Amino acid sequence: MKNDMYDIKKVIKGGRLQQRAASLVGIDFSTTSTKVVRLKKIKEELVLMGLDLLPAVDFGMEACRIELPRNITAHYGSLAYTGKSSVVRMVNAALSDGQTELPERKLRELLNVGDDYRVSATLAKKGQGRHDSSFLAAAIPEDDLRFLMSMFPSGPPAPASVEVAGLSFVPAFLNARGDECQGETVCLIEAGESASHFVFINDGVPALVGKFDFGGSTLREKVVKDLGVDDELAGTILTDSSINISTSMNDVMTPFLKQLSISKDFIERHQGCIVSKVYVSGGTSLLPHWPSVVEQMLHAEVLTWNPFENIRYDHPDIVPEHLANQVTRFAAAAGAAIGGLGES
Amino acid sequence: MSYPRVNLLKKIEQRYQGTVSRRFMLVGTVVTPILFIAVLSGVKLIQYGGVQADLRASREIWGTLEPRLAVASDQQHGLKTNRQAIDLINGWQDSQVSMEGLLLDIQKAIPENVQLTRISIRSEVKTSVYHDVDELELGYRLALQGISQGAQAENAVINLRKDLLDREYLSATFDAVKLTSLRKRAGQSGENMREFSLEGLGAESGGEK
Repeated sequence: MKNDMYDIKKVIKGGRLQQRAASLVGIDFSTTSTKVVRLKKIKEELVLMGLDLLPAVDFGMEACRIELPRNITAHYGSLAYTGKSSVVRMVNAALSDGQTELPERKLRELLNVGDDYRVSATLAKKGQGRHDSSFLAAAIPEDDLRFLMSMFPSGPPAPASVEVAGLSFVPAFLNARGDECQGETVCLIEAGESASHFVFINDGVPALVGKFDFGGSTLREKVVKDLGVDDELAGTILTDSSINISTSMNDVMTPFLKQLSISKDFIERHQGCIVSKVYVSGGTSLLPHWPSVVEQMLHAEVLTWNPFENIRYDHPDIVPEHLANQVTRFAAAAGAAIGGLGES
Repeated sequence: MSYPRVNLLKKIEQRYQGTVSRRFMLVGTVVTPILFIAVLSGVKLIQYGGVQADLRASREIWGTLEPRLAVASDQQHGLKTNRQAIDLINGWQDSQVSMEGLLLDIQKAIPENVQLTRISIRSEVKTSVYHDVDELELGYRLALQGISQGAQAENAVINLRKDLLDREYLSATFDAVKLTSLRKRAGQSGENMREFSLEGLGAESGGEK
């Protein structure tokens, strides 16, 4: 009887969520722009209903209501936060029987953040025997969370989730290339404007995550400094292969890639595997030299992927022409929406 | 499919958003039945007012018509009574038998050798209270006394009895003619004579005997 009641509650709850998340808008508040992706779930198929690139939101200004294009809005939204203050980490802790969550105090301690941070974690791998369980954990400043929420005071979309963009792209990757990487350990790099995140995925489960304060702006600053050009011209030089800037690039990327290489070695030893593929996404991954530098430093095949793989387009022209080559920038927004739809 | 996600939003911070807001649904759930009842009550009240107005108008019409109806009813009752009286009178008239016819029948039936000394035709009512025409039928009684003479005097009386019943009016009025007495009587010159009495009876009268 008790189980029957539980099932009924589950069905009711499930039905409500199913209805709630039939259509979801993923919004990535990144440094350079606000990326918006609307996805719809029709039976088991994901359909891209629209995407757009809106001006970036300045978290230093007073928050105001965000207006989304009418064709890209939905009842609920999954928000992705990109901020220098965010923290992502795999944390390990011993769990008692039946326990699946970490106490907030313990989580703050493991993430090394104070009460001014919002923390959350999800169980990635349950420890067997004496082994600790590993959690995928994240934290962002409470002020930034309040800022995000205040942009959606009422009406659609209502925030259904807030994630760190450096993790929210993972569902997009698993949806696109999950089948291809089954049984393998791969490295994902989401390279943004101000920060980059890496995630080592072992058989679909995150094994190690990390964040570097490295991105497109770091490279531009280096080019500005080395070549004595302005920021705009530096951006042009980075996207144009006419000038050899490999030295500057190597200089600025070496520390980041060294740490990544160490993490790769750690994972290979810890998991007893070889990380042979590195999947890159994000705006910085569009730079012509960048993937080759990563490939040289990590000694692994670097692949780009499209976050809208395995997603049906509502109509063929849904991706505007000027964004056709930049869809990788939508990985975090698409991932947030896919993750939200996946929970329903 | 479930993906690894770290949602920093607490459940209590998630707000409902649908095509229709929860507040609207709540208000709708509460207000709609009340509004429905109110509208229904309003409609019924208007209908009740209309019915009341119809009732008042009907009562007024009834107030005007009722005395007329009573008069008409009385007149109808009187008419019915009159018709009954006329029917009774007509019935009574119809129940009368033609005395002329009866006497002519008797006259024709009397042979030459028979002489009547007494003829009596009496009618009497069957009941003192009449409800319909059928009850108005009169009962008739015929009494004939006379003398028959000649050699066949006795046979002449018997034949007379039969002959009477063959006559139109007599047969219609009397079911039987009974010879009540037949006495021998000597005439002055010694011829054969019979003094007789015949009695004609209606059906019921005959039954009584």
